[in-house]
Amino acid sequence: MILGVSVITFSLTYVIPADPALVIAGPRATAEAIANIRAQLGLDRPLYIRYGEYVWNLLHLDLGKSYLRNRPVLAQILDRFGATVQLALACVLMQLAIGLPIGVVSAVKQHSLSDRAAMIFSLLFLSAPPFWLGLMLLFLLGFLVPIFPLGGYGTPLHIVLPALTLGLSGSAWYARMLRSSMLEILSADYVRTARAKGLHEQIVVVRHALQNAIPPILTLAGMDLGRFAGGLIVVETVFGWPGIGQLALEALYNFDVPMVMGVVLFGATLVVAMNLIVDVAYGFLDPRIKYQ
Amino acid sequence: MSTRAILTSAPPIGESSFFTTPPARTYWSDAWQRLRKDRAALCGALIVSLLLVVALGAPVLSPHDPDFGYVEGISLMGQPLPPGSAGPPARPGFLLGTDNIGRDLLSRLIFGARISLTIGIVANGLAMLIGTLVGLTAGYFGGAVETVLMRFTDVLMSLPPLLFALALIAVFKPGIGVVIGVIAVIYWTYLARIIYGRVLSVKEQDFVDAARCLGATDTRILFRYVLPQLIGIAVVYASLGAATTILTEATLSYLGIGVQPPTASWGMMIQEGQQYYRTAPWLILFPGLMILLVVLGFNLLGDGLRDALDPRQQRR
Repeated sequence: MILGVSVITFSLTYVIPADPALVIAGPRATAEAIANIRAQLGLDRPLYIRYGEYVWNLLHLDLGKSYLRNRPVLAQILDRFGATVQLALACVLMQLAIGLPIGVVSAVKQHSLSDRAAMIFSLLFLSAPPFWLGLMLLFLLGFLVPIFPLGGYGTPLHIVLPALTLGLSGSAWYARMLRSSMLEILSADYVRTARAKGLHEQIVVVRHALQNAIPPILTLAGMDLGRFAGGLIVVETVFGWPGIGQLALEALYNFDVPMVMGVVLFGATLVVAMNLIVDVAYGFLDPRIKYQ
Repeated sequence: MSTRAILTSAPPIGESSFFTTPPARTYWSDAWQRLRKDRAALCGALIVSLLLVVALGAPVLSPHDPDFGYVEGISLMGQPLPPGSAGPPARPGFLLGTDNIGRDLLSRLIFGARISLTIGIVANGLAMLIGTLVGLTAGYFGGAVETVLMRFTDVLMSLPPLLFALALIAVFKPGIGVVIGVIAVIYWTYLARIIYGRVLSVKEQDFVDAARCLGATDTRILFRYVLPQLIGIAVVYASLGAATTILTEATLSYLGIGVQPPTASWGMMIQEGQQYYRTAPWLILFPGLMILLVVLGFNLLGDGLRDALDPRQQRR
């Protein structure tokens, strides 16, 4: 999988652009200078050798050097990765904090007013562009009612609005998913049995229904964590959060192709790794699913 | 004729007259009946068709030239004008205010509908075309073709959409054509997976075997017998896909790597307006509401279409 992604990033870096040497040397470079750079980068050798080298370097965790800063790509990514991980964790937690109660309430009181309101709100937040949601939150809670700082990074207060932005738009998935799986479980035989033997409704909902509806939700959360850690480009841009999404975007503005591809490859690796972890963890959470 | 055929062709018990047959119920008429009762879906359809009218009639509907900066459109302090300001002499007022260089916000919003719907129709249509063809081919032919195509799909799907877009845009110059292409390349995989799954089950059915026995070619079976079975699901994902692709264009344009100025795109208008958010919040409020509206419209319509066309996937 990662190998496949590496083919794509490799060809986007070295094959499709007319000539990376031209990009590096700039428009006014002499033919000699361009030839020099080409030799330096080894661009005059056949493709398959270069691809082999690329993969070899990848296996040694070498993602190349950025054109712009002449520093290894991976070092730059790792510098910024901590900030992104913080934000990714906060976002996932916020999604759970908003989505789970909504999902439980709408499932327990199906077709009630609060169920309908919750589903309408979730659809609204699902349809709103996250960058706009972020700007609106900044305007309302950062400017009109100045509770939170206007973007930036540092104190715990700084993380609330960015996390809330993704929390609001992403929680809709959690609420909908939890609602539908809870509805399915609440109509199952063992729930009827639990009620029939006179258990308190609260215990039925929490111990019998919710506990069984949680594993798929955690799967979603795990996958989201991988996705977010791979780059929260939009939220980081809106709030000026110094993570790897911003890094990729800055690199893009400066035509620093290896840097962009480094983040892409890094992000895809995280996504694939996280999906794998989630798959394995699922077996522990839900013993009914066993791998042959 | 078998006994079963005779039995089913007999008129149902309780029919008013022995000689009148009930109107034929097809898959499509059933779906239409279901859709008609779905208020949310009709709401979505209304929003989408209204925006379509706005986009088509943009030159007639917009009060001003969307790209022209009026001297009267900026306050004496050099700030954008608030909604409801008077327009230039003998011209309509600036109903929703102006932006930082004196352009009429309402006119720009109206022309912005063209970009969004172009993406929703062209980019999304392209993605659907590729997705359907790949899904059909992989599902129907199987073997090595299947392995190569579906592996490739898996690889592309492991890339987070926005990062993938970044990677592609790093190589090509941003602009409306590239945005359309990039969005199509990112999103065809989702439909390909779904179509592929459906083809696997459709191709095992008796009528496909029957067609093959009658000597139909693969192309004929694919397009005459298999494809019609997939139209319902394709329609559903056309609507949901329009919502996703429009949101992606808005995001790319907001990040400054999508549609380029001076073309009015809602996402870009938010980016241009965000530095004025203290003094002129309408510059980000209205374009955002437009994006919300169009995405909501397609989502509602898509959800309704899924309930109507794909009753196997019951929603509660």
